[in-house]
Amino acid sequence: MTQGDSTRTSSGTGAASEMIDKLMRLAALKLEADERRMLKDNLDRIVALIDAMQSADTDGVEPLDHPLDGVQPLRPDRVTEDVDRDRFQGLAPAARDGLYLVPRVVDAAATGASANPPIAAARTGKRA
Amino acid sequence: MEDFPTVDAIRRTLADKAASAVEITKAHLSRIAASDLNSFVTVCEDDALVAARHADSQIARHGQSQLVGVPIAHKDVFCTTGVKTTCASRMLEDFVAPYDATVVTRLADAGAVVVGKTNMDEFAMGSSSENSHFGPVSNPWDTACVPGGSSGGSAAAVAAGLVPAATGTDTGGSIRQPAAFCGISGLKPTYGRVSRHGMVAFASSLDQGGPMARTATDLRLLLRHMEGHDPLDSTSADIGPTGSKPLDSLAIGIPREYWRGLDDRIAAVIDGAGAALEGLGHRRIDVSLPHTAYATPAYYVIASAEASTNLARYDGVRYGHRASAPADLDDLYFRSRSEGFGAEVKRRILVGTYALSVGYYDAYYRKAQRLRRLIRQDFLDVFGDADLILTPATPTTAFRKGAHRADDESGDPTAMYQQDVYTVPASLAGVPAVSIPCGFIDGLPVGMQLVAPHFAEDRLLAVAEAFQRETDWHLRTPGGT
Repeated sequence: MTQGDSTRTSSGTGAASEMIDKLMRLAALKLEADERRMLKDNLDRIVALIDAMQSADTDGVEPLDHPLDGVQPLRPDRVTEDVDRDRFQGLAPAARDGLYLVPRVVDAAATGASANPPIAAARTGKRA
Repeated sequence: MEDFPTVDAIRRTLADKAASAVEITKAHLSRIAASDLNSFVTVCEDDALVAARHADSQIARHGQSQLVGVPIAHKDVFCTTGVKTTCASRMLEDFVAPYDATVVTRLADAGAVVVGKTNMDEFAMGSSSENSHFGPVSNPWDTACVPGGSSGGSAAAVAAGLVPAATGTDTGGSIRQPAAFCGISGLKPTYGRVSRHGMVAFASSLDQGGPMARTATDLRLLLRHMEGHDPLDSTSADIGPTGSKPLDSLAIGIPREYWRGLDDRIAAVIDGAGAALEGLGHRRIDVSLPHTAYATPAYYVIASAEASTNLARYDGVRYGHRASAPADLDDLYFRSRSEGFGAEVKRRILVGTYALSVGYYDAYYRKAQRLRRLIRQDFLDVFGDADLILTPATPTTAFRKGAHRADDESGDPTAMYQQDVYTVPASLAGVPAVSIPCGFIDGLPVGMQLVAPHFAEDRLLAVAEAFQRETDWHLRTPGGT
């Protein structure tokens, strides 16, 4: 999947396969083998579609980020709301004592914290 | 009460006290309960009846005004406190937002009675409303056909008379294309006219909320209570409300690029609509939008890039689907996302990731943004000569379910993307566009698209209203519910 090379004939091995692996890693997605094969073929077709852009002459054209060419307005640097941590944390699939719970990210042996449960807590500030 | 009342008709009924808001709400809830279109994800019967009773007491005290007592539905992409906001995704299957979208607040303040949340393509990605975790939506004109998408639930519900109006969102055609497929009217306002606060983000530089209803008059009534500057959305435009100008004789641009390869029968219907506009005192002029062919590829790069960024927030930690018994933090992230997102969402995230990755950023993302400037300039140039532009809204009428699915190796997702070929250019340019019914082919509705300069919704809606005073395409109703 490189520019101008949509790898339509590739069977999912080699460079194209490595690219799929890289994209899945970057996007934090894990795909089953059949889903991966289907997506690879789909992506080849999509890349062929978007490669049509390359025939356009855009030399010297400034990229357009915002349809109205708008600039980011600034509001007064003043506190306008309080973040209700309990309300927002109530949406979390796993939270306790004001903390979001995730699997342990620090090796227990290295920290000497082997008696702790296998869940780490990510503390969040009052203000997001 | 008639079966397919407009917003305007309901307001008159309430003002004349010919029916109460509770009676009108119950009538619509009954139609929803009897419908098998799968156009709703959530029906809010109890909340709707509470709101309707409140509306009746307001009408008793002050008479009917604004949208007091008018039943509406919200696309399930608008955040609502107390009611789930799913985006038709497993990722948000049980999500209840901690705040209301600005659009939701404003319509509630205007007295609208929300009867439910409508089905859609997952995270608004799709043109058929088949990419829903809750199953596909049917088109009331032919239930074997799709209603278009992504606002297909809203379009089908309005077309079937389940609600007189609904909200939708349009990133590349998601209001206009389903409006055309279902024979109703749909407005994508100028980017920035309607607040995006509380509208679950797909592609932030393109997403725009708007109204869907049977008539252009109803679009105007809804827009009045959706639009306006919102300090909670930094891209919201600080501009006055849409006016109501008397119409002069206008120059209607017919962009020749839109007719190349166009289906003959669609072309004939749109030509008939152009002739009807001439009958109203306007004139057609030939114009050119020379970069039209690049709009679809540029759109899919920009929209996918923004989607891959916006959807990075779904990590199984703060809200949304969380994989069970994760082995470690990476496993939590990867499995939560992989289980929570459907195939089309994954495709777009991967395309966006590709376009933004090192070595491809300039060739794809920046290239698409340069083309976006050229496409916008095309419109600005044409609006030097033309007051409005007339195009088809879609390349075909509603297609059969499954016709463009890409769920196996032989599937081609780009066939679905080509459905947006006439709607994405206006999205990239940020200009307003409306789709209104203008004919039928084999019993299925055809929509025409009118496009106006930035913030000229008044002109757009005035022409659409004048067209609908002289035609009755928008009054036709389907048999299926």
